[in-house]
Amino acid sequence: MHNDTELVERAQQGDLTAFKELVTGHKKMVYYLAYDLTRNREDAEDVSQEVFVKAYRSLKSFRLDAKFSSWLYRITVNTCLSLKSRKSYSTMKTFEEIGSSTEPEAGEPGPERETEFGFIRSHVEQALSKLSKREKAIFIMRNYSGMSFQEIVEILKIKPATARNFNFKALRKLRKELAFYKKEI
Amino acid sequence: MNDCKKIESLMERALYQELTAAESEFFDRHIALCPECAKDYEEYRTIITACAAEPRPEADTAFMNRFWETLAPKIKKIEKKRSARVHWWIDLVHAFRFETAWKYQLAGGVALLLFGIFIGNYLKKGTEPMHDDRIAEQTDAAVQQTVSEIEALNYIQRSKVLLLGLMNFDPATDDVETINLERQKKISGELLTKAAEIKSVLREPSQRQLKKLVSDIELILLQIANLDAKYDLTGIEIIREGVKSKGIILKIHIQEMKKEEKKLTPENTNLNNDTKTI
Ligand SMILES: [Zn+2]
Repeated sequence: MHNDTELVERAQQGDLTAFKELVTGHKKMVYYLAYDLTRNREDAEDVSQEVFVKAYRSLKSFRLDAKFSSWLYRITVNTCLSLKSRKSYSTMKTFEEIGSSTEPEAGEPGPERETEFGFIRSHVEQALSKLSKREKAIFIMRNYSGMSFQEIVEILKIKPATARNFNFKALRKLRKELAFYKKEI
Repeated sequence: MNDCKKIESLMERALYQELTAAESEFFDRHIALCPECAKDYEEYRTIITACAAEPRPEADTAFMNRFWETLAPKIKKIEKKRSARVHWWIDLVHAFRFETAWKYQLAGGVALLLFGIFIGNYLKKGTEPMHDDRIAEQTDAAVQQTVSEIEALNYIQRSKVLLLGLMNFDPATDDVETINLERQKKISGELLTKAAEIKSVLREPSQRQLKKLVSDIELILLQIANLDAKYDLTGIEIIREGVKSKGIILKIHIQEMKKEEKKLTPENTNLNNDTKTI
């Protein structure tokens, strides 16, 4: 097992096996972030491939004092933001799709609670489309992907206050959107 | 500030359990007594908890297993394109093998350009982090633009050598044979085939002057290509007049100077703009 810095250095000098090892080590993380952001499998697959193509193309511009994974994540977010696809980021899932993908999981928070969460989430999905792309990306990274603000700041190279403001602004908007369903909740 | 306002300012951090002990105590105490703030907090928490609890489907195993197999051909394609760019330089060097004086002059020009590119890249690396795909695209666009300008300049420099040969030719003392009209015509023909392509890639407003010069030279080259093979002294004279009246040699020098200046200006390479990306 090699560390990223060493692998990146070798890959920058044209060592394709080193790049392959980097891909192997990071493909899942990239895919899952892309999935969280695009909310569908096909887009996540396309995006994760594209991310590594872009990474390879600009590998020489990557500076070794930064974290390789943060750099990859950044490419991932930007690729998702510029995505225009069959089932894109901006055209949200239909309720039927959401219903089938939010079946309660055994074990976890208890079927009843999970159904309630599923119900809320299906509305959050709809409400998310009311957010700006940036708000949505930051909200998803923090609340779906479970990244800390520190990680988000590192990945997106924005100020901590900006990340927090975007996230809270998104949260406030979502709550307002969801007010309509409050009685049902 | 009243307590509810204070709670509002703590809300965001409270939701992610980031309050200090003292803040937390104050927060909890207020929430217990104020139904309004308690409702706010509860609703935000419900959204956050619901999102965090979303089950994420596993990635498709088949897709993950053939991830590299799918990626590898795309990587190869990039490599192929890159080596094509290198070949372009090799072709350029080969194109100028025919005469020593030209070779040195042009090798000097090419070296200067390469040095400029090197300086450009060096300055680029010196600026703050710019690791992202959008910037990569910008860089690609910048490289494309630079490549088209280098090609234009190459065309201009070759033409300059040709035109200087004609301008320095003195019909009174020099033998027509010394300027080797046959070869001049041949080179003009070669350059003419490139002119259209070069003009088509010079699309930026900043490249307008360069494009105009390429067209002006194109006309002169056309005249040269149409000269009678051997003793077309009148033809040569007309061309010389055209070159003089349009100030073409001067314009060529201006473009050459501009290019060198541009290569060494850091602003052109500063693509760093982190906050804009997201
Ligand atoms: Zn209150």
